[in-house]
Amino acid sequence: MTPMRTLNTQILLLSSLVLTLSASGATADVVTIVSAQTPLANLGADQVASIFLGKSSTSSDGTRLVPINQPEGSPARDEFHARILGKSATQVKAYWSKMIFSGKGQPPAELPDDVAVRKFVSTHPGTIGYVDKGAVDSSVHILSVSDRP
Amino acid sequence: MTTYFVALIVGGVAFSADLARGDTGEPPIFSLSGFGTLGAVRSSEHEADFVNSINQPTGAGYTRSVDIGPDSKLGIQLNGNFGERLSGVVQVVSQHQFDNSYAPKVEWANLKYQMTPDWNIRGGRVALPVGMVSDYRLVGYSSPWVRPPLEAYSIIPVTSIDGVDSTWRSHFGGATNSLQGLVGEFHNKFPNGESLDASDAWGVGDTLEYHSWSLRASVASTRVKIRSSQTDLLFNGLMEFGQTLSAVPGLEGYGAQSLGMADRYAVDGGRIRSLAIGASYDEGPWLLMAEWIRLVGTGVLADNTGAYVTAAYRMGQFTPYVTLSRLRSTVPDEQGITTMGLPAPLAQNAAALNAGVQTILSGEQVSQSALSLGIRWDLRKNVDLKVQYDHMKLGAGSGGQLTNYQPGFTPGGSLNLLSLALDFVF
Repeated sequence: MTPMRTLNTQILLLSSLVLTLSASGATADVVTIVSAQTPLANLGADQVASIFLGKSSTSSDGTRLVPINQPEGSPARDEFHARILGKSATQVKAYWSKMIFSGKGQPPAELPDDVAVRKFVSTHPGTIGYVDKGAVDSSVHILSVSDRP
Repeated sequence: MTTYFVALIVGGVAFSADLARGDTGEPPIFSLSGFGTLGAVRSSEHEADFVNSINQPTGAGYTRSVDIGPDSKLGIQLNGNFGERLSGVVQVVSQHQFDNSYAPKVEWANLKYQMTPDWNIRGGRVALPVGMVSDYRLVGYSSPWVRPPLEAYSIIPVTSIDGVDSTWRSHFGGATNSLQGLVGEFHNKFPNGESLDASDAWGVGDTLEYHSWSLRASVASTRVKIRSSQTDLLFNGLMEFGQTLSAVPGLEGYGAQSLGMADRYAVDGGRIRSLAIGASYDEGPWLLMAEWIRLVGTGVLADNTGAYVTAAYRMGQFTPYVTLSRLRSTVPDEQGITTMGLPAPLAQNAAALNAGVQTILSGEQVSQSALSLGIRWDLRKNVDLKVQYDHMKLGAGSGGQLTNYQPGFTPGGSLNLLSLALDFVF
C-alpha cells in the first residue's frame, strides 16, 4: 500500500467560493513536519518549495518526499505559500494551471485541516506537510527549514 | 454557432464556480479540468480584421466592430492516472478556427510513462514547445496578458505535434534543469483552403529554473510542404513558362529566371528552423519576462524574428502590466522575370507571373511593433478579468498580422486595440 493510494481515500479537495483574502488576515505560526520516523532534520526552503511545486520528489540526500497540502483559502496554506514559496494564493493557482494544462503535473493532495495532516504525516513516513505549531505532537517532528535566500 | 459557443463558455464559468470535488473514497483514476476565456476585442482599423492567429478567417475591425472570435476559447482536459508510472491526458479545445467554426479539436491526446521520478516519455499528440509559454499559451488564466505577444508567438501558429517526447529533469545546487527532446509531424489548416504538412520534425528545449529565475532555450526544425490551389497555380505557371522559354533559342535566359523563381519560392519539403531564447523573473510583486524567437523560413516563407519584454507588478488582486514587442520579417527583394526584350504576349505573361510572386511575397511582410498596457484583476481564486490596450505600428509596406484586407487598407499604418477578457480554470 503506497502512501499516495491511502491518501487518495482521504482526500478532500475543497472548492469553496470564499475569497482567499478573507483568510489572509489571520496569522498563524506554520511549521513544516515529517513523520517522527523520518530521519530528516532540516531542509532548505528552496528544496521544500521544489517538492510542493512538483519540481522535485526527493530531498538532497535522496529521501523521497510526497507533499500534502491544506485546502485552498486556509490560513496555514496561505502562510506556507507566502513564506516558503514566496507566492500568493493566486500565483500558486496560476502556476498549477500551467502545470496541469501542459500535462506536466498535478498539485499535491489535500487534507482538510491541521489535525488531518498531522495524523496522515505521522502514519506515513515519506510524506511532508505543514501545520500550525499548536497542532504538533510527538508523532511528528518539525523540520528546520532555512529561510528563502 | 457563436451564441452556442458563448453559452458553453458561460456554462464553463458557472461550472468552475460550483464544482465541488468531493471524494467518494475511491482513488481518482480520472480527473476532469478545464480552462477558458471569454474575450472581446475592438480594433481601430476597419479595412482589415485583427485575429489572434493566422488560423482564424475573420476578426475584429472589418467583419465585426467588436469580436469575441480572436480570444475566446474553451478547453476541457481529462487526466488519467493508471498506477504509479503511467498517466494520460486528453485535451479538447474549441476556438475560432480556419473554417469559421468553433468545432472542438483534440489539442492533446498522449500517454506518459514515468521511467524514473525525473525522466518521462510521452507519446501521442503533445504540445509543441517553442517559447516559454507555448505549453499553455491557450490558458489565459496562467498568463499576465490577454494573449501572448503576437509579435513573438504568431511566428509559429501551431501548438501541438503528433509524436514522441521525453523530458529529463536534473537538480543541482538548488536549480532544476528540464531537458526535453521531441520528434513528430503535424498538419495545419489555414482559412483560405491552404494547408501545411510538417514532417520529420524534431526539437530540443532546455529550461533552467533557479529561485525566481527561469531561463529557456529551444531549437526545432521540420520539413514543410504547403498545399494551396492558388500558389500551385502560380508555381505551375512559372514552371511551364520557364520550360517553354528555355526551349526557344535566344529566350533561354528568361526561361531560367522563371524556373529560378519557381525553385526559390516553392514550399515543397524544405526545412524551416526555429530558435528561441527566453528569461523570466518572478519574485514578490514583480513578474518580468523577455523572449526572442526566430524562424528561418524556406521558399516563400520569410525569415521572422520576434521579441518582447513584459513587466507586471502585483498589487493585491490587481496586476498592471506593460509589454513592448516587435516582429521583423525579411522578405527578399525580387526583380522577377525581365520583361524588356520579350515579345509583347510573352512580356504580358511574365508581368502577370511577376505580379503573382510579388503578391505572395508581400503577404509574407508582416513586420510590426506594439506597445501594450493592461491590468489583470483576480476576481476569484480561479477567475480573472483583464483589460488590455495595444498600439500597433506596422512596418514599412507591411500589412502586419491582420487578415481579410479590404481595398481601402493602407500598409504601414498603425492601429489600436481594446480587449476585455474573462479567464477561468476549473
